[in-house]
Formats: sequence, structure tokens, C-alpha cells
Amino acid sequence: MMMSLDRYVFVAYIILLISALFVNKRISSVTTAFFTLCCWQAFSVSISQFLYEQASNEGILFKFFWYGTWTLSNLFFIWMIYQFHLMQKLRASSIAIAVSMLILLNTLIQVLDFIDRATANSGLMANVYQLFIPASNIAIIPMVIYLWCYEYRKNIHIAAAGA
Amino acid sequence: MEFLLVLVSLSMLILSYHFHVKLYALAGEPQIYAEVALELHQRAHELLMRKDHIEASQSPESSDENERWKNDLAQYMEDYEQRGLVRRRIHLGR
Repeated sequence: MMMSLDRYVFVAYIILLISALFVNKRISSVTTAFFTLCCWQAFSVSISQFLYEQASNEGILFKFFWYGTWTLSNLFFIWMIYQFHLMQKLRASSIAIAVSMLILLNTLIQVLDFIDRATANSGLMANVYQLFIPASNIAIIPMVIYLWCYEYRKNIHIAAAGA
Repeated sequence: MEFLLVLVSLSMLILSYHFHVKLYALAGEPQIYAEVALELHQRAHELLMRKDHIEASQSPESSDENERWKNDLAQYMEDYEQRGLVRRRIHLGR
């Protein structure tokens, strides 16, 4: 069930990316952020089955394999957004910040849950972990659409005022 | 063992935060624009002060001074327009 939900979210991200390419018609901060979002979700869909099999083994190293892979991949995708902006000399839009913030929060939850697993093993974070990550992946979609409309309106006002 | 793994996790989290903050810095107005805006503001202030002096003195050479003031004002307005065009091209990509 979770698996198929992930795939619907991925389709929604792809639609966002395609519409951004049609609207902006060039590499911008928005297209970069949506491209990263697509890569992030595609990576997570493709690798989660394999990681789940590994993590079902006993032992802290197998648990770390699950959490560490997500943390490292999240680190890579945050760096990727930053590096794209740096290479293309783009000004970071609020959408790129929001996507980066989402991945950062995701990493934070992963690390907190791993620390809980490695030390007290209280399962306090388990509920947060299971609910927050899928929910935030869906919640980012209306949020970026809202921010996109907001920036579009702002740019129109700046252009009307003659920069 | 657990300690080492927790340490690795936390350092990856801190690195993620580091790149997030660097991205956030790219969202702000670049330093050079702030400096240009400050310089233009100071020049405008100086021009206004000179106009005040010219109007206050009313001496015979004030018409000569007034001519120079008008030239400086024209130069200032041209600079302002040029920099506005540059800003518009960079910020809005057109």
C-alpha cells in the first residue's frame, strides 16, 4: 500500500517538473528544485525494497544500513540543489528553499529515529517516523504550488514597477 | 560501535544543514547590489545638499553652480537607469 502511494507521489512530482519546464522554458531555480524532488523520490522508490530486506536482519549494522543510506542520499540531494544553483548562478527561490528544508527535516527524523534505535530503543520516534515522512512528501506538493503562484505574482509586480 | 554510528549520522546531519544554509544564503540580495544601492543613495543625498546650498546662497556665481548641479543630476539619473536595467536582467532574466 505504502509502495503504491510512493509511486503516485512520484507521478505528481514528474507533473510538477514538466509544468515547470513548460512555464519557465529554461533552467531556473524552480525547475532545479522539482528535478531534485523527482530524483529524490525515484531513488527512494527504487531502493526501498532492497533496503527493507537488509534492515529486517538482526543487528545494529543492518539497522544503520537502512538509516545511513537515507541520510547519505538526503545529504547528496541537498548538496545537488545547492550545486545546481551555484553552477548556473541562480538566485534561490523560496521553492528551492522549501524542497531543501523538506529533505533536511527528513534527514533529521532519520537521524533521531536511528539514535533512538541505537540507544534507548524506546520506539518513541517510530510513530513520527512512519507518519511524518509520507505525509510531508505529499504536503510539499500544495506548498510548492502556493509558493510558485506567490513568486509569480511578485515577479509580475516587480516587472510592472519597472524593476 | 553504536557511538561511532551515531557520530557518523550526526555529522551527516550537520553537513546537510551546512549545505541548506549555503543555499539559503543564495536566496538573499547579493552583497554587491546592497553596496551599489548604498552608493546611489549617498550620491542622491549629496546632490540634495548641494541644491540646498545653492538656493540658500543667492550669490552672483550661483547660476554657474546651478548649471554644474544640473549636469551632475543628469549623470546620476543615467547611472541609476543603467544599474536598474542590470538588476532587472539579473533578477528577472529579461
